[in-house]
Amino acid sequence: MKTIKYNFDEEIYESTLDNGLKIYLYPTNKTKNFYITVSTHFGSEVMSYKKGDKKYEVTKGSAHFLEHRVMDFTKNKDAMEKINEFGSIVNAYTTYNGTNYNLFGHDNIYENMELLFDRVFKADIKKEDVENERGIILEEYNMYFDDPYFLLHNNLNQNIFQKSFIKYPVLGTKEGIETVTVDELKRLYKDFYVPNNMFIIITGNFNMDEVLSYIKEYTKNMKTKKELPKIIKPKESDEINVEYEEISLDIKEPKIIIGYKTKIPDKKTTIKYKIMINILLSNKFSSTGDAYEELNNKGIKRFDYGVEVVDEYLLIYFKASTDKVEEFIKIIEKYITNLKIDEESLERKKRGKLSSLILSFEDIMQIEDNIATEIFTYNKLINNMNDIIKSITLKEINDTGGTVNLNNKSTLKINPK
Amino acid sequence: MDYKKEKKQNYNLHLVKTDRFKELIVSVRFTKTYDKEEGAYLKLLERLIITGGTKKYKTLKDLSKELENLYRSNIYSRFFATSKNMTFEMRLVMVNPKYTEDFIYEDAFKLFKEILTSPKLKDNKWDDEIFNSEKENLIRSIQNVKESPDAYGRIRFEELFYKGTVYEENNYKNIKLFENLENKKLYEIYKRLFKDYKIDVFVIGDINEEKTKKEVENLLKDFKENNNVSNELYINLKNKNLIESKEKINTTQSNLFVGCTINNLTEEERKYKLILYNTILGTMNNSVLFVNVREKHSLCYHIGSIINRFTDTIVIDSGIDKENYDKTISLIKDSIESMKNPNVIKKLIQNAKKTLEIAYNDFYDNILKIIDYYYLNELSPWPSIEERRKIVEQITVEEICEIANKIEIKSIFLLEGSLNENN
Repeated sequence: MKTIKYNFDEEIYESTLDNGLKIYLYPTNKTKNFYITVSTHFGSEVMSYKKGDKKYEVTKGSAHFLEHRVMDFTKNKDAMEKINEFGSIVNAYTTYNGTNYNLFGHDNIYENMELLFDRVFKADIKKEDVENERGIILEEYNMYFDDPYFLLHNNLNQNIFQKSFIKYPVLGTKEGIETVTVDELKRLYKDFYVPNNMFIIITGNFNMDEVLSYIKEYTKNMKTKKELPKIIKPKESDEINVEYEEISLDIKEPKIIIGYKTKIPDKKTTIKYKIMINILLSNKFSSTGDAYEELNNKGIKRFDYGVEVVDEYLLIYFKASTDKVEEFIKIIEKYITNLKIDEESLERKKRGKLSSLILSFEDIMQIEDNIATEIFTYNKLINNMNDIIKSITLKEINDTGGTVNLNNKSTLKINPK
Repeated sequence: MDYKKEKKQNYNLHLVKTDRFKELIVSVRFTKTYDKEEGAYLKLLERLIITGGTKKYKTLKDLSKELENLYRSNIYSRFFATSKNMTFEMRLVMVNPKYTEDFIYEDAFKLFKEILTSPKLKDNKWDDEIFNSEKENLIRSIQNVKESPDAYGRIRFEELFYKGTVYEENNYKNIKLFENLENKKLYEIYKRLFKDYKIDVFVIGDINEEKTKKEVENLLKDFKENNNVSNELYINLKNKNLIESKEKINTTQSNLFVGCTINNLTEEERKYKLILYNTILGTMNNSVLFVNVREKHSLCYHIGSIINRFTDTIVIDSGIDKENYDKTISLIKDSIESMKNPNVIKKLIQNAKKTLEIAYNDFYDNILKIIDYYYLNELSPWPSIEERRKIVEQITVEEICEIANKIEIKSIFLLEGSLNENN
């Protein structure tokens, strides 16, 4: 068991079992509850993969569909009854990077673990259940497509990227949901739900040694998969796909999103690169910045920006709900071309980041989420965030501002019908 | 966690000392009987008091920089209504200075006071340009509720279900009030906070009591308190017959709301048993509604129910396909009916009690829930978590069935998605 030390006396314990399954534990007495999760590195980013000599195309939305069938309590009534007896809360979610199954409880931790592990590690996927599930997933799909902000991101991703997985929502396509077969789901389960492609996180009130022994005992017969599937990602091109698009929808106020796609200069320093870009953007576009002030003075108040890493690319987006779409574009363009920061502002931004780090151990679900995100994204815990932030120099960050590819831009408008 | 209340001459001080959190929160709450027009002004003040700048920090940008300097402290303002009362809250959130630097504490309080008491004004008005821009922006935000079917459906349902009570009010319905807001009048309303309201201050975190008292006293010393709050918060709905209503909207999914009254609740039922009843009906994993509507018939993506404590009502909401309307309603009716059967409750009551256990534990992990509990308790006494834990444990199957006999569906509202599936 390895101890990973964080600032402010926080520690996370990490262990890798013989079969490759990784365990992350954060025991604490500050709460009476606990949170158990099991995750697999299989999310909707997997569009095709190779195993042996065989190449498989993955139906869009399969990872999410599989999540619905793995977390199957309709057919496992006894298990559900037990979970309910304990008053625990079970849930699951799928992202591009992976799938997470979770249980929030307060009592009977070993029985709870068994119930969750049984679902995830011993799923039984049946044809009739898959058919029944389609309706439920289509309802979920429709719910998302009624939301104009979801559409903004969804269509921007389609326009910015040529081939990347991110062109499609995590839920997949309607066609995918309607056509995915039970055989495919079974195969994906067999290929990706294996110990050396998975990890367990437990945070909250529990005895660490006993919990670890329990997990070892439970998983002792689970074998390492010698050959993990090799995910084949289509080669994304540096160029964007569509520069400009307008659509109409039954909304009250026009919506706009502008995206910039930049190739990340050095893949090894992606974390620091993303932090620096975030600081630079915050310096202009958050409430401490000139761009924010100018937008605000122009009456553009419902706007937002964000940064996402998509494989080797960085996507920066700005979105707004406003009548003054042209002015919004002008202001964004004016400030994005000059992403500089001065010494005083950099120090101030570093303090702000530090406060987020201090508060990142307040809540056991948040702690689990931080761990899961880091493992899904980087496959390791990032316990030196404080050092990374401190190490940012003025020159370095101002140089970074110049790396954003301003020509690689896509704009999407949604007009009221 | 230690709670302590002190009645000061012009405010009530509530101190919650706990080392559970690395955060410190100071929440000042001004409370008064609900008034539609005054409420509209406070809704605008909620924005202007932050974005309008102060004497020392002229712009939002200056203010934001200072907050960031204080290790990203934050100041929020919020207007909300609770039954017959309305509340204007100002909240200061900071990292406990023991993790950063000591001076943060005093400086954050200083800034908090500056924002609350020294807005940037000219001739007793906010800058006209900022006022108009925020007003226009607020009106726009209110109108945009139509873009969120769930939120829009809920307010339209509430207008129907809570007709004739304060709960039928919403900003969308009262948009005229917002269009008529005036800059000069806002200042008058703002000044009332200093003399016409009940004032409660909550400080929670690993606090130094003496230091905190000194800072709070300094913050509020020029305020006067006036107890204009309504203490009788329970409202009887007048709905006699079942009303069904539908409205079309351009979405794919439809949102269904079902309002139920629970008649002649005893105090004991209201405080303990109704919560357990509702947990079984619509909040726990295998709630009767979830199992009947979603699991057995795949009719919706979500379904749940919540209690409105001050009207003795339960509201069920679900996202459905309009084609399934009749079937869903019929299943909801069956579900409610089935709760009268002791055999149904018998199987579920222990699960529900355990589910509540988790929620009770979770209370201590949620800093804002703790403040809200003590605040509501101040307005209308409510048993503590530990009291509830003890009494809920003793509730019997028969007692839940008794509640089931008192429930009646009074309103059904469908916000009908009219897009066909191929759009």
